[in-house]
Amino acid sequence: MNQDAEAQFREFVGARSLALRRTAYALTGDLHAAEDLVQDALAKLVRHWRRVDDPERYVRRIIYNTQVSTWRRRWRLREDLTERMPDGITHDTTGQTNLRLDLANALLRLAPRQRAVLILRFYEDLPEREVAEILNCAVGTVRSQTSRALARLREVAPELAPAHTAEEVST
Amino acid sequence: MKINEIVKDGVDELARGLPPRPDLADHALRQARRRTRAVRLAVASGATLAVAGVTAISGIDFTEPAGSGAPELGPASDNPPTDAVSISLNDLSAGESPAVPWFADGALHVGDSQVPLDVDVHALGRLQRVAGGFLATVTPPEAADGSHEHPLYFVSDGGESTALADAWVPGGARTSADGSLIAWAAGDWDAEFAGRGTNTTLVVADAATGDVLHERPASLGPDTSVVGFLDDNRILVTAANNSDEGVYVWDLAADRVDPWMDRYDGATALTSSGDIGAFVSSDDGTLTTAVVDIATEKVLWRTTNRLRANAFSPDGQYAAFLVTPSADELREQEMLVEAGGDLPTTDGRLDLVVVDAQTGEEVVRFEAEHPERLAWEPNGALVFEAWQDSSQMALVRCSLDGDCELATEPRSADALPDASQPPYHLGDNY
Repeated sequence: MNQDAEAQFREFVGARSLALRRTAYALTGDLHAAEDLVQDALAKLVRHWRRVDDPERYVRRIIYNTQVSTWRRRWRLREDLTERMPDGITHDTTGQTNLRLDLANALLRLAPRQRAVLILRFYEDLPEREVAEILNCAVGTVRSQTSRALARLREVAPELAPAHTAEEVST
Repeated sequence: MKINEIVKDGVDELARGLPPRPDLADHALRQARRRTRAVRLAVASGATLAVAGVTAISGIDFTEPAGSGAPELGPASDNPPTDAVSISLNDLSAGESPAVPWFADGALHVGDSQVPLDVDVHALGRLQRVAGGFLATVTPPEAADGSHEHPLYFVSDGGESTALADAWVPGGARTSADGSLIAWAAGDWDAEFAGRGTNTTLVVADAATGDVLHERPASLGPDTSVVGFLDDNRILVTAANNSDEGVYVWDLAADRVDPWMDRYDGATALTSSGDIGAFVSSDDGTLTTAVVDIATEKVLWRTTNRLRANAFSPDGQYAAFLVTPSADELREQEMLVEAGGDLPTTDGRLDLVVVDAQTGEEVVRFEAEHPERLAWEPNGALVFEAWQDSSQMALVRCSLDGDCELATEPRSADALPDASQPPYHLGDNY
């Protein structure tokens, strides 16, 4: 990587790293794992900088795929709720509503795959087919996982998701 | 509040607690620069993969397609499904141990014999039986962070493990039809990182001695894999990431690696005799597999399902694959959801289909919980992993008559020291 490319890379990281780390943390539910995930993905971007047209899309793809591969290596994706809140992050609730804090906590208490479906589908705004491709499952599975995730969301924080219909989910 | 708003707000809330990382670019650059270690190819000189004899197989002209020169389009494999044989571990009787290799409790097994795998394993790649031992690709624990280590080992029946390729060999090794030769592709991420271009080393070794017979660097990306032997002189190679995707043929006698059948994006499987192959292409975003007669390049049949590396039976008569929803089924599902209906959940139960390799006509269909990995026994029975209620797992053997039995006893994953690993592993054969 020459000096110009390195400068471009640094500019990209400066502009987009928070958004990337935010996604990684939402996917992993673990601060340290998220930091490693993003740094690893950025290191790979360095190697391929010359050939990558869309750095952010490239890095996000690596983040998604690496995280999904990690789950696959663990083989079984436990669908039960995470009972213990992940460590490593605290929230300053000053000036924030309890509702927003509850939203974050509720997401972290979803099972990893359920959280991933919601993050990819509704935060990353990826189409169902692309989510299915990333998670290596059928579109129907994405939808059923979405329904189950929403059901869990209602259990964890019933005040947040009073009645999400299939129409809402599919939009 | 709609669900997308809830999720966005929730994630935004999470981000508020993230500490700043002004040094992130520096760390990423340093991490990338550390990956400069040269790939080492350590070929065992004393390996004892005792297989005898090389059988000459007539060559194939790859320069021109047979017939008109244009590929003929085969029919889609859209035969009506047969009634599926539903697999429940609780209902199966106990049978003999698998005649194909599997991994459990830190050992490689085949039949009633086992050999300790004296290698730290984080994840197991391709696993296959060769005379005198096993070939296994292994992700070591130190590579679990995503670094590119996936070495290929020969593990003798005596338990001695030898690294045939201490490198990135994601596709594992393939053997020639008579077992006398083994071939693999070792990707070089370091060269790519160092700006020396995409580079992969293709290797053919003598299965009896481990001696390298042919070795050739190719300007293919690090995720290149050997798909199989077309004959004793030609190796089918598929290249994936970080280079031009596509299908290549390594001609050993001519010492050339040339593109082949460029209408396909890659190859995933080849019969052991090299006469039928599975090739993938992506049209309109839909990945399609074409099963092709190698000699004529005629498409025998097509499917939207993926045929993995060991999809073909040992005699090449059958192909087995997991069924994923077709485009029409996906459209039906979309319409169902748009109409406010609920989608049925499968609870991980999937169909595993065996078809005639020449015609794509369905022979038998099994329905089981997470039958993700499969292998064909030499006698033509199918062995695959199956679960029961996400808690018990076993290897199951099914004949093409639809008769099934347990090839290993069901075991609980929760009872294992490392619950992240399945109780049994047939090897990843992607």
